[in-house]
Amino acid sequence: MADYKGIKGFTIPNVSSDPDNPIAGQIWYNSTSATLKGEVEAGVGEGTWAAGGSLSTARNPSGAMSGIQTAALNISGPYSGSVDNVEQYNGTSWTEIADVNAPRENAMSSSSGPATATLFVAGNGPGAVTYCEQFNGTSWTEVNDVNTAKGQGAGVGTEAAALVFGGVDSWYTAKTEDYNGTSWTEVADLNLARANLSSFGIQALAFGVGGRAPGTPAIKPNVESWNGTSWTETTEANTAKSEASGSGVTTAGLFYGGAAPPGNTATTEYWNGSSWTELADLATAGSRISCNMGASSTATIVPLQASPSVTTEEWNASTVNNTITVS
Amino acid sequence: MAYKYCTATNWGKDFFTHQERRDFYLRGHAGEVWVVGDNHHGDDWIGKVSGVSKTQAEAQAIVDGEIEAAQTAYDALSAEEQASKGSRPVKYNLP
Repeated sequence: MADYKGIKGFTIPNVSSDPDNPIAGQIWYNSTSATLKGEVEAGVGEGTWAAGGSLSTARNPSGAMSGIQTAALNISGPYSGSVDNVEQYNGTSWTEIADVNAPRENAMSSSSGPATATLFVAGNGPGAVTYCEQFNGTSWTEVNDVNTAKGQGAGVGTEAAALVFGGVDSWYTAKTEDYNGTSWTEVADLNLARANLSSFGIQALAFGVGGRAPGTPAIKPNVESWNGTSWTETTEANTAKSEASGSGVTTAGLFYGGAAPPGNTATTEYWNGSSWTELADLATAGSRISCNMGASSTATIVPLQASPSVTTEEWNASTVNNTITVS
Repeated sequence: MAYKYCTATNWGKDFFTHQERRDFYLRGHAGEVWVVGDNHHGDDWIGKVSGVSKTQAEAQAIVDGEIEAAQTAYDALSAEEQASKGSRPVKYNLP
């Protein structure tokens, strides 16, 4: 009968205690615990959520985000009485910076672009509006409007190449608009008109995840993939959620928090390009609208609360390998 | 799994760390209520954040009160505002 050495060309070390600093891929037999063990490479699957820096101003969950974990923007929020409505994060603390010209909530953003060159797109102020503003790192300037007034949609991309889709105009919309750095153009619709969906990706390769749409149940697990030309239905998320958040790219995306009846959820799902996997939960269940942010699935941040709050949470994939028991 | 209950104010960065999230169950709720896994790591964290111990019933009452207040605020909104806020808050039981 073939033995392990005959197949693999080496034997598995038989040791009485685990090695001190095993490397990823190392396997050994622990004779004391009578278990076969191995070292697993660090990665997204071992990630966790920790407390992030507190916002300067408590906000309702309705602002937009952009940037990366160590250089992020949280933009506007409630349209009424908004003051000091933009904050910038440096990885440790939030600082109030220049206000947008027209405060509004449920807006979209160029969520995967840099914080210092962000588009702040449409939203509710209180009804759906078409305004767009661009941040240059110092101040906000009005740029060309979107074609259709909308709020509660999703946005990806950068200030020079953005995509916004879904939301509510007078009713749930499937409309998708593409920004080329100067103007907005209507392109192919989503297959399912919906609002409060999550997103990740870039202008040319994007995902729209979950959201609300007419019919029962109202909250959907639907996922659509954008290839630069059209939307295609792809593998549904494990949990139907709306008002969740997203970050990453179409081969490595996160979908976290949100509303999942009967209330808010703390769940995190990871898309690896072909399937969804449940990862570690947020510490606090909560929902956000239009809070998609960042092109990274290994490090992101979300202000996430069920009522006005200053708290945030940061996701980081593990950089530490883990020992697992094989058998 | 056994739990402990406390209230503590989240001060922001490092209020709970990645390592602590790996070491014990931790879930935050309305009213600054925290449900903490009952092990020595959880006990250490309650000490670190100066958590005020609560019974499960006390913690549940705090959360219920916060949700009732949120429900009242939601009900006072116009239909349009409610549509843009998402679902009406719903009461739930702590583990």
